[in-house]
Amino acid sequence: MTDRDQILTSLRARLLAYARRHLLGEGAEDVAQEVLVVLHEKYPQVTELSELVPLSFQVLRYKMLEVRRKAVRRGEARQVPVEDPPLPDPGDDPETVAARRQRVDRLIAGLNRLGARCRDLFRWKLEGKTFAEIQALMGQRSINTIYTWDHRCRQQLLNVLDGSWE
Amino acid sequence: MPEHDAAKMIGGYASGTLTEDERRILFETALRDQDVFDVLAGDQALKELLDDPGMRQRLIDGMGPAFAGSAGGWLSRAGVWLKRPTHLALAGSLATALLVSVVVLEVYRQGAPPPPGVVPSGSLPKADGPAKEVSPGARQQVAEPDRALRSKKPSTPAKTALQRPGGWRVTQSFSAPSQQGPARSLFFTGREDREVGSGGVAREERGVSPLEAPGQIRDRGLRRSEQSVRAVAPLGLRYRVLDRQASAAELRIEVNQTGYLYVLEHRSGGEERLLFPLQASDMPESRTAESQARVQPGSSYAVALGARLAILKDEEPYRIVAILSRRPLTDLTADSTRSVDRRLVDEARRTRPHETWVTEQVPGEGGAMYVVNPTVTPEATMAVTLTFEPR
Repeated sequence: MTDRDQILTSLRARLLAYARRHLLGEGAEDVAQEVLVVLHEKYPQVTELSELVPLSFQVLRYKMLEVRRKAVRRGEARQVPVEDPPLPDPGDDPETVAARRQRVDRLIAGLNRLGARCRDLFRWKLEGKTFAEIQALMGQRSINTIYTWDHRCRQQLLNVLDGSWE
Repeated sequence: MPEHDAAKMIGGYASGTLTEDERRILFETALRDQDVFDVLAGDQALKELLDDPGMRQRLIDGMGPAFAGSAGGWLSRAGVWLKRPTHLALAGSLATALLVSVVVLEVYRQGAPPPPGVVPSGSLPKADGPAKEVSPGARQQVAEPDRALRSKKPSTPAKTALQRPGGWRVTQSFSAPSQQGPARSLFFTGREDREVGSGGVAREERGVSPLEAPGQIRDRGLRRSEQSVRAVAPLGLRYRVLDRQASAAELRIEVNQTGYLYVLEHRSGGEERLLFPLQASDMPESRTAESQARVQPGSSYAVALGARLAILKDEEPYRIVAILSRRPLTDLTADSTRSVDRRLVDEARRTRPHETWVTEQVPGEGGAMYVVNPTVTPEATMAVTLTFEPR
């Protein structure tokens, strides 16, 4: 068994557990399986852990959205071949753009309710700085302090947003 | 890196802040830890938003001006904040209010009358004298040596032990089931407000009619008695054993409500001897036994134990019982021998299974133990038995 196979085996368990927590019925198994099929057939060249895991998150998200759309459009559902998954690029779809703008406005409102330290952290992250660079900017000796602050700030922001980014 | 530390990097995933090493550590953790995996999968929505450069810039623009995050930044932020006239005025007002509060509090503390049940320290016998008031300053002084004697937290709810580095070991037990909890918080939450009345008890008092003559008001005040009170807050006590020297050990007790405190020692043959308050024969004529037992918040009451603990090696375990009640438990004026009616002890020790006392030891306060009876009734009584054993 190659490293990639081992990663996919672990991923399957994690994907299945995640899908079971977020989907009702037997759809969870299908979603986990479909994600793996996409990874296997569409992205055979991706072998590194640091690429494979985030790719699985991406495909998982679209598969989950697809399942929810199907549930909403009951009776209008159309099959989407697993070999033709929705691509990450949403294009210029006005509805998508408007929804994104709304989410950004919500995020801005949430960020502005945080303390100065958290806003500094988020700003620097958005500006593309690494944690090590942020550590230097904040004058901290340990990078673990920055990890901890960021973890707390993320949790605060999530609480302000009622527990969801969307 | 431990997994719980790796999980703290989660916030860097969506924003693309992680280095290659950090990403590897985080994803390895995610494959092992379902919770981390779930959080990262949930952050995918945020990641897609932040991956759009336009949206990312909108977020940055929407967050307003940047602050510097270091200590210097904090100062600069404070400077910017203070430059606004309204903020400056607010800060000045707050500083003035704080200063006035400190001055008033200090004046109040210095001018406060002594508790009615406390004998001036000069009139107390030194060696065996059971009680004296300790001023806040004096309490500070005696607390310092005790810091070295901090003991570990109680291990069992109903019976706990305070380890001493040498000499003796103190075990405590209570007359009711107890549990560890926020007793200190309860103690101070329930601490009697000076305006409430006597002992966590509010006097059942009607408003004063403007038509009442001063004499009538005075008469009505005189008719008030401790029997017409009702409990409004949990009853609690805080105690420490100070063993600065083997021969000078003291038990220090503070209460959060005005009440009546009795400290008894258990002697061979089943006899109980009163250590606190003083007996009528030891007291100034102006004091009654009842008033002597009366204790109130803000004072520390000391019971000397040194003479007894110094000879503990050859003796059986030494037990004392501290009893706190909202009402006086017995009339001690006729008792010149200090032998105590067993009814007093029995009453205090009787078990009340429906009550659950809360206890908490605070190492930062010299190992002070807080015990609170959360039942708010006028009849509330509590008894703590301390057993001293040679180590």
